[in-house]
Amino acid sequence: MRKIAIIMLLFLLTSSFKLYQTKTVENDTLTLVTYKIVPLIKISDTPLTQEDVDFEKALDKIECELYFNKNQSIFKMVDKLEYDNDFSYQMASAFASGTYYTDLISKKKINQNQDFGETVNIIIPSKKYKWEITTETKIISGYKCYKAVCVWEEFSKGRQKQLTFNSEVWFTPEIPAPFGPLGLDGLPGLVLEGNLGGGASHFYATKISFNVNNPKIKLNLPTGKYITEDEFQDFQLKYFENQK
Amino acid sequence: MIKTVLLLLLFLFSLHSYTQTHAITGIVSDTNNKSLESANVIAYPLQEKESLKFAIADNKGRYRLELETGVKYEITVSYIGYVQEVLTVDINSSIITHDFKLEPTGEQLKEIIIKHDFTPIIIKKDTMTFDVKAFANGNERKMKEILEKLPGVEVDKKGNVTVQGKRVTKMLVEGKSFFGGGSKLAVENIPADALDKIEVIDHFNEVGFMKQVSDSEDLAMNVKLKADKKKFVFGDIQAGLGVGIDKSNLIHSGLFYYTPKTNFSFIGDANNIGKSTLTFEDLMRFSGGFSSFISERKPMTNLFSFTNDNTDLIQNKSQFGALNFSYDASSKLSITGYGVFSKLLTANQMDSRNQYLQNSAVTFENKFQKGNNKSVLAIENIKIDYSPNKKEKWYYNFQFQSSNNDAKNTLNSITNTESSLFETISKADNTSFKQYIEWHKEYNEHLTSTFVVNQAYETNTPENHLLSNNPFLTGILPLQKDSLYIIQQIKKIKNNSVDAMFKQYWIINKFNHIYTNVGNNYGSSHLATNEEQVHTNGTKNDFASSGFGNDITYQLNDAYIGLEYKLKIGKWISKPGLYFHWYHLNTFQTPNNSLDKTLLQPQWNSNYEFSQSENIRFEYQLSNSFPEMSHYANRYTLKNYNSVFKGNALLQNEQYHLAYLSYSRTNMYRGILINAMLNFNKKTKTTRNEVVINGINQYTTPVQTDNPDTNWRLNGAIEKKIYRFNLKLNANLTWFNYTQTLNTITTNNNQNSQELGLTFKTVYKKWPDFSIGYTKGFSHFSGLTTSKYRTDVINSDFETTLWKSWIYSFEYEYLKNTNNNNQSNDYDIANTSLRYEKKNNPFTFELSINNLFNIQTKSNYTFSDYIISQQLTYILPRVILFSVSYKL
Repeated sequence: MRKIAIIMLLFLLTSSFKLYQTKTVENDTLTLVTYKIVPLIKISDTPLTQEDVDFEKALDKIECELYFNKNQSIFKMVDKLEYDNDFSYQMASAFASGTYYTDLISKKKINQNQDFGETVNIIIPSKKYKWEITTETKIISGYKCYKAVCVWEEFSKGRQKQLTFNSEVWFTPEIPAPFGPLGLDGLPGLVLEGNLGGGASHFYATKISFNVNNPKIKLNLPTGKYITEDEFQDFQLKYFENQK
Repeated sequence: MIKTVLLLLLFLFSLHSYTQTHAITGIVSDTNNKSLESANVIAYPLQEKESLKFAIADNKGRYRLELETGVKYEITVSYIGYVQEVLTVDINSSIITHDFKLEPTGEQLKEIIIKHDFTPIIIKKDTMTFDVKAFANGNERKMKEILEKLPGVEVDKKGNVTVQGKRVTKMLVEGKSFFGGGSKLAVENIPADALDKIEVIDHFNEVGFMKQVSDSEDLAMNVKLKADKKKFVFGDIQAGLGVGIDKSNLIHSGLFYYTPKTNFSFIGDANNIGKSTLTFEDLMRFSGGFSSFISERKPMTNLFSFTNDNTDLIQNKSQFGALNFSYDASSKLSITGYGVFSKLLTANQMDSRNQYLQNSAVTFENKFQKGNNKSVLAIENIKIDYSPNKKEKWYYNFQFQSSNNDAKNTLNSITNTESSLFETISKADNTSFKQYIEWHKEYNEHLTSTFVVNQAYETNTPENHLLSNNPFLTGILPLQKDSLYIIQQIKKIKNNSVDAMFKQYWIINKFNHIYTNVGNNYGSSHLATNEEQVHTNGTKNDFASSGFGNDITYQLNDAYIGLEYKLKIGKWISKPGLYFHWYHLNTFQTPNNSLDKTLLQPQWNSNYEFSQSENIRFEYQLSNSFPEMSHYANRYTLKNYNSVFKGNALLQNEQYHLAYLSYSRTNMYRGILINAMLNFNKKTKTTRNEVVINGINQYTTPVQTDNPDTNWRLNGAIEKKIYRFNLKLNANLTWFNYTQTLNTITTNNNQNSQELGLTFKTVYKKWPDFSIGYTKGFSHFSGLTTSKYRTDVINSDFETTLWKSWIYSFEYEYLKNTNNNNQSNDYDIANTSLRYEKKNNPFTFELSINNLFNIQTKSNYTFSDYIISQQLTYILPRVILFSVSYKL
């Protein structure tokens, strides 16, 4: 038993040493991808209400940024002064809430959420999205993109219901970075379009800037409290219970 | 153990070998043999139903691609900045290694703009429905009871709604303003079972494209009705009869008709038990008639008597009717309007014991007052909303208002030297027309404009008769001997104003906005007052020769330009602004006077948002204001039986610093709510009344000094949820320091008050609602004299549902006042009711008792610079009322 423990320890030590090495060798450049959102709307014969129009307009104004280097990425919405007051915008921005971190070396994915008055770091399981790359392709602005899909389920404690999501992304192998918006990543190429499924909005890249210089961007995983998605659901439930 | 591992391995191996694969390995590099790390090697099957394979090159450019045998592939290596290379692998290909050497395209890529030829993916919209059903238990009668069950929403006794501590300022039903946006009428009248969804919209702005630049602090609540309530009349009618007051009665109805294009709401109420249908805020909103872009001018008429439950009266008969409508003439044009009619008959009675403090002497007065009042008010308002296109909006609003007041008051004043009986008969007619036009246009995403013109005309003609058995205000009023002293006072006031404003909003970029303002406010008013003694034989004695009677025209013009710069740095939004005002004031009386002032007014707003639930806000403003017309009228005006006022023609503007700091934090996870607000107000140029007091008689005149008035106010509240209880601690502290001249002696006065409260209540759906609160108040005055008062207040509410259909409620208030000499008085008031309401049954029966202990009077202490007063107010007696409601 002791032997196993020692072996385990050794293994851990060596592997972490290795991590350390790769990190220091890195001489990385930063790339910035800007995404926008379109709603996934239902076709219906009733005309759109003013709210829907406002909502779509607000969605159109949301911009998200994905910064990445070789091994790490951060994704979040860009704050804009003029929309702080806009309800539609706030509604729309709920689709892009949180800050997503991906670290390839430690194989960790974190969604940092501040919606409930506290900063919590939700661990997204690395195996959450089991992508199936399809042979469906399309050309986006000259880049050949492949479609990848995955089906995943989640039990919503609030709604007491098993929810099924059909996530879908379009990635281009030409840009060799396994990153994407909203934690939709882990593919052989950058995600230029995609959505989480379940009625959420569809992200699409509008601009890629290479070798950007933004010293303010910190790609390292956040420090602080880490919780699982399950624990986060409990957290949300407690929050809503406490409201009344 | 080992066995299972082996088995597992075997199993995996068999899976692996089930489909036959062959691997291709190689290196991806550029033409200079520099390896292309992370390059993606994609093997695209050229046969249907086969899946795509890929490999990623390692740091040395090495890749290993597993392909299925019997499938034809097209292997592509593309890497940004290089020409892609394609290799076709045939079904029975023997290729096992292949190196890709990519040719650079030669371009140095800095940025790529991606153009999507976009067709949104269409899937079913999963609407997030905020459902009233989820919170209601079905026993609720009115919207108010539903709101109280929503998380973070509170409704107070006056019908004001707050959401997470923030007050709802606009109430909408189906997206349309409900009776001008007042909350009390909505929450107390809309039936609970008509509600489908409730939305809360912060920073509400009616004009969609203005949202991005508006600083609107409006919090709107939009009620969505159930589909089956549309196209039908719904609502309820309540009728009650009882004992207590002569023929206690109550009739109340709220009826609603909603269709997609047209809607009507009617609220009618008649009662004699002191119930009011409106709050003061509702009425202020009704009678506003001003564009929200123009800072509102103070209305001349005081409508306060029409509002708030007033049981501090011995009689209160009220009749109220209001109709609200909205009609969409087309998708571009809609008309909304309301009409309000209110008639009020009240009677009041009050006894007071006053001490008038002079520099050396004290005069005591016992005062007994009784009065009857009849007020009638009518308001009609129409608003037209026209949107020629998505980027342009027009509003036109017209309002007519008419009210009159008839009052009769008797007063017996007994001092150590005399006892006089006064009778006052007052009559006032008020009429006003107000209209405004508003235009908003968005030229492009960087520029938006607003233009507003506001016009108002008001007239007010109060007429007072003061009758007395003894001469009064001797030495000031030139009274001639008569058996009965009758003074007639006639006032005529006219106001006319035109205000215009043009505002441009420039959006420079994501983080910087510039707003420019140009405007002009012009107001012209005329005041004529006349006092005379009417002898019992019919002859008259005009007081004009003794310095009474005013005839003044007042014109104030304020032209201004201003610049505001709004910027966002991280989580910090800041908006500094600078305004130039050119004031021109003319007063026409003898002597005429004119004044020109150029004043600079800086302002600064700032908001730091730590997170959505925690922020700090700071506001500062330097402001100027000119006294109103009556302060300039330089001849005497009779105020009442013991006071005379004289204006000052030489007054200038008052100048003051306003600062505001607030902090709020809500942590729903921990069930904590914290709010704190600090207000600071300092007048550097002050207009204050100088008082000369002789016995009970007072003569006041406004005088301008550089003595500062300083006012601090601190409010704070902490709320914490503990298990199924909510504990709230709140504090209100004020400090007020000013300089007052009384009988030519100037003193520095301090008025401080502290109020600390603790409330405990249950927050659990399955338990009865119970709350109890205790508030301790201290007030302290020091100037020529020193006074200290204490109050103790206990409030409690209880409501429970019994056997599903019986609802019992009880509310209690205890108040105790203690003065300087530790003398105290107290009273307690309780109301209770029992209601029977069965689900799906349109009838509701209710037995209610107001003023259960049948208290006749309320007493309290008040004080000012020179009067200390103990008051006894007579209130409505116990009323037992049985009522029936029928739900449509």
